[in-house]
Amino acid sequence: MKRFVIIFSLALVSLIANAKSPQILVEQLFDGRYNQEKTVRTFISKDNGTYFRMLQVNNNSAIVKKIAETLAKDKTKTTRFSEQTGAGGSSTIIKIINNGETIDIGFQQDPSGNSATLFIKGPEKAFK
Amino acid sequence: MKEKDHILTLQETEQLCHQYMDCRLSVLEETELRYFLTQVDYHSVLIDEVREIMNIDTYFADKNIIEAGKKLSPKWVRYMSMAASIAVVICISLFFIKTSSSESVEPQSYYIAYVDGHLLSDEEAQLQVEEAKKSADDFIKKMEELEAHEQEMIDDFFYENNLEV
Repeated sequence: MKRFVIIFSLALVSLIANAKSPQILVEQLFDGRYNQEKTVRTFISKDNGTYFRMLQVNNNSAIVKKIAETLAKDKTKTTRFSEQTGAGGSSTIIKIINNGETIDIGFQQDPSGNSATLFIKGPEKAFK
Repeated sequence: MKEKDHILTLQETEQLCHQYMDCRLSVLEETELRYFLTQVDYHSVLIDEVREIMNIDTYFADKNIIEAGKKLSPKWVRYMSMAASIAVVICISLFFIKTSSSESVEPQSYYIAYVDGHLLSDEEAQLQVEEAKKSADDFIKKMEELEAHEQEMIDDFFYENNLEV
């Protein structure tokens, strides 16, 4: 009986975990904190069942650093990511799969680290 | 062995096992011993040997319930049914919570854009967002092409060096 209760509890916990949304940390950067910031352009949309968010940072190394740090934490949640570094700066793409759909997170940073672009894009279903 | 509700002690069980090994039990007694060994959690070298010979497992071996002289099977089934019912109720609730929360508030489509610290009008926002989406799609495509090219180079390397992946 004890064994059954343990198995049942574990099944319940995994069910609840499965029901949880993917908890993308960079998504929290779109909570409105940069809306009044003149060095940041924010774009948010939902259209045809697709969520899209983008931050474009110009000449603000502190915000670029904050985004890069947050993205590094998200990177640990997936094994599907690709990074390219060259003279033009660095580019990163992360793919997070949830509910059978893929969320693309892209990050492009210039060599100086002062300007960068971050975006999140994916079907609505993937964010639930 | 004749009394159905009497639970044998370990010693009594061992004695019966001795008799079984000496082929001194009747067919009926053997059957009863076999049933009894499936119900109790008694262990000794002899008892385990008899279990092995009889090829049986103790699947109902909760000592406390055995001592209370109760049959386990119906109760266990009841617990299983209760647990399954609870699981079904939770699954259905979660499904409805997720469905209702996602459909209740949000509009079908929206566009929001902040430029230079100012909120743009809906039309302007839509134009800016479409442009941003296009640049994001180009970025994804470029990264996928680079990834594919890298993979091709890796495959070529393995092929040229006669290595297996």
